[in-house]
Amino acid sequence: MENHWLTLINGQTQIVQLLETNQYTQSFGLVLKEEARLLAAERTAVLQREQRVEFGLDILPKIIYTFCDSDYLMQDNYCDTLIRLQEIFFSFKNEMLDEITDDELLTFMREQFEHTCCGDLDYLEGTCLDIFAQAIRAGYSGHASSGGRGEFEKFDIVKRWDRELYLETLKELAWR
Amino acid sequence: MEKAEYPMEELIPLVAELASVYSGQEHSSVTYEKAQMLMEAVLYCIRECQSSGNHALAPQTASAKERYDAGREIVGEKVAKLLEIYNSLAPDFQDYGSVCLRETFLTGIPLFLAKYDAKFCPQETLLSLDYPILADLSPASGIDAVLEYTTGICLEQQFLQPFGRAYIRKVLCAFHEDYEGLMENICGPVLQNTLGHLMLGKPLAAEGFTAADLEKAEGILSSKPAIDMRNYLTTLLKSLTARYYGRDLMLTDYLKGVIPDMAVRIKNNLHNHCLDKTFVL
Repeated sequence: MENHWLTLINGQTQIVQLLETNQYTQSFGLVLKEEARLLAAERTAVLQREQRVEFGLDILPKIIYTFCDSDYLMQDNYCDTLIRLQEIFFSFKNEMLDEITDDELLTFMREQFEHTCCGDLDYLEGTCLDIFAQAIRAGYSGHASSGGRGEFEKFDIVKRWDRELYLETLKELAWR
Repeated sequence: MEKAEYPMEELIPLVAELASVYSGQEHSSVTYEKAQMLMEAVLYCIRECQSSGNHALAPQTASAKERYDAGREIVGEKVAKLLEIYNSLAPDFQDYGSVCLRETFLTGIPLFLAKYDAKFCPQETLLSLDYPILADLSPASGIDAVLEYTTGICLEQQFLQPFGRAYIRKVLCAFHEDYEGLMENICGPVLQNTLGHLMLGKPLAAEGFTAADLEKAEGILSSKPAIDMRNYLTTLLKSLTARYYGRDLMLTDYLKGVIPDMAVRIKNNLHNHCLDKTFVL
């Protein structure tokens, strides 16, 4: 089997690495125990599905450190959210043809997850990242200088702040 | 992927190291396609070391890393050698009208030198090497293929040069009036025609084969069974290179590559009594 060696490498997840993140994340009320094994298994599966291979450090600890202080991450949804974030990360590395670095993509994801999406992973994947990936495939490279910060506003097709609507709602609430 | 003589545990760290340089430490993962490319790069360099015959770096004594490093150096040396051969050949290069030869040599080889990635993708030949030389390049790839190819062209130029441009064009035109646009080797027809002269004891300067010449040639050749035909042509070739090319073994070996095809062509033309298609000028 031609890709057998690649499958072998992807199977070597270091659960210890994941458990070590607890030292930092427990201050945010987030801890991985048995879920670390599930995360490791999911990592192997997603890498195989996305046809990617990790040689050195896994991305998962980096995802954990990037997202652990999010307002939308709680112990109850911690593991599920990490699994989805990991899937989204690898999927969009491919979608963006590796034109974006790990750090730039994580910065972009974290920023949208926290502000634009308010923790909605489907919106992050289906709208924010999808639009941004289209721009990158079309040759956009501004993320290299911005580090992935403040990028979505340049491509966002939804008006996020509508002054008229705000005033109308305010009038309704205040003058009732 | 070909089986490696080293266990994967020895090869994977080399691929990992190459991958981290390839991605500039900014990507923790690469696609299967890129990983496969990098593994092939490692194996290519190890094979280079192996084929160099450096016994100090035999698999029993040297690690995969040592052989990979040595192989990478060899690849670098071969690129330098290709550049040297190209630069020495280019000023006097003659395409004798062959568009395919001209484009492959004048456009293709410089493009290869500019684009070849000796570090991450040394196994990639990059060029389709359209002009057919007389050597079989199918087992080779990357710098090996292009170096062998350029050496072949160099030997062809060495062989053709004494005939003169006008004579060669005349011979090629006699074989096919539109030879300029064909993807055909130009050395084979000239050699075939020259062997006809040698066989009949006709001076090379005496152009044209008369009906009597061709009848005589038919008499000589028809007595030879298929296996003898090849040996006979090889003997003629050796006497040609001995007399005019100072017994250049490399040139002789290279030109031998056309003998099997030539023998079949002569046999067919003998059978159809049209040796004038073999010996044309």
